[in-house]
Amino acid sequence: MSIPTISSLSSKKHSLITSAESMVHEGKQNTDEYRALLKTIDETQSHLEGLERVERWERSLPNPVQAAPVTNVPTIIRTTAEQEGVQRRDKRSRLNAALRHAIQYGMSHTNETRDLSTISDSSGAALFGQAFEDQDEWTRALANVAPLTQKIHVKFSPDGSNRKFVTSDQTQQFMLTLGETTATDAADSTPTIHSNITGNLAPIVGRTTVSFQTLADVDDLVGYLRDGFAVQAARAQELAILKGVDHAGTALVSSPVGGLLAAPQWEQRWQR
Amino acid sequence: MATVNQISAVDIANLGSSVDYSYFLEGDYVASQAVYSYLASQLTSIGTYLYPRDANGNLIVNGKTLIVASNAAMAGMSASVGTPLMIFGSLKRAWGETITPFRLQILEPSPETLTNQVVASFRIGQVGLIANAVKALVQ
Repeated sequence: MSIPTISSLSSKKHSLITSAESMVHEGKQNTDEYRALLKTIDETQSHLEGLERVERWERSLPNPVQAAPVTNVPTIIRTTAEQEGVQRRDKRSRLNAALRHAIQYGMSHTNETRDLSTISDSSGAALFGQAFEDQDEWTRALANVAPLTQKIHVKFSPDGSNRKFVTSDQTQQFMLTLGETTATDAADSTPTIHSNITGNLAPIVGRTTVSFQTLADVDDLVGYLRDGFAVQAARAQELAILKGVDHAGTALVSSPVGGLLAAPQWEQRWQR
Repeated sequence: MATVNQISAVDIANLGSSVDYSYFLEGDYVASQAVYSYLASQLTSIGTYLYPRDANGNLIVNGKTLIVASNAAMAGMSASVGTPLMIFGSLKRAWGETITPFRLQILEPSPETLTNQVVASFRIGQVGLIANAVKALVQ
């Protein structure tokens, strides 16, 4: 048995009405057959109206979720290195722009402060060291100028506080066999620990006068300052490591006297 | 036989052997630019350069890249007796350094001279670690 639809019930209704009209023309409107036909027409009409109400209700429901069409659109995925490169270039560009603005108009007129520190000292100075707080920048700047500074054990201290080094000379420590029947303990030794830097970190400072014209003509202002001043800083650091002094020969407060070259037990003399 | 204020290849090799071999493997030679110039000009008996260079131009002594420091930081060839002319060893085991980030400080513009004062600074603290890890060649 097929399920009645609006279309099939409409056809049935029209067919029944046609039959009823024929019976009227034939003068059979007072017969039981004609009355049964009218009853069937009413039932069909009722059935038809019921289906139409269901259909209107269905149309009022929200549309069901459709599956997304499958397409072959390629997705561009940047590698981490590419993203870092873009970010680094963006940062450098912003920093250069901010620096130029600060140099021309002063820090008080600088809108961009994300890469600039607005800390000022009593003379109105403005720091912009953030770019150089990236250890990579610093290391790259020093690598070719003073490779010695890359060879020692370096710890960075963003806040200027001291750091502790813990190391021991394990070439002077030994391990011994433990006999199967011996009652003697294995040799026990405690290595000498070298760790502390005493005192506060010594500040080393240099100052240079740069003309507006020079600063305005430099393509990469941050790179110019970094590469230029890195030579000064690298030489100062080298001197501090090897001799423990600044350029004037003044001993640094937080370094061993005489620096790396001074310890007499390290000297190696040769017979000639 | 080397004379005073001359550094022979044997001196350099002996300096390298004066530290524990584990330190030799990770060790570096350090000398001033003046000593570097002296070594770079040394010739063999057939007139070729005694010390080779790597692809970047660094001088190779006793199989190690020579690290060149400034003349202000290490002595030249005319140094007095007892002054180290060269050091060798594991620098990272011998010396520790705490350093702040490199800071550049720019003063407010000076309209009179159309200049800026740029101040560079950092802070440094140091400690000697393992004394045996580095040794010095002295005359």
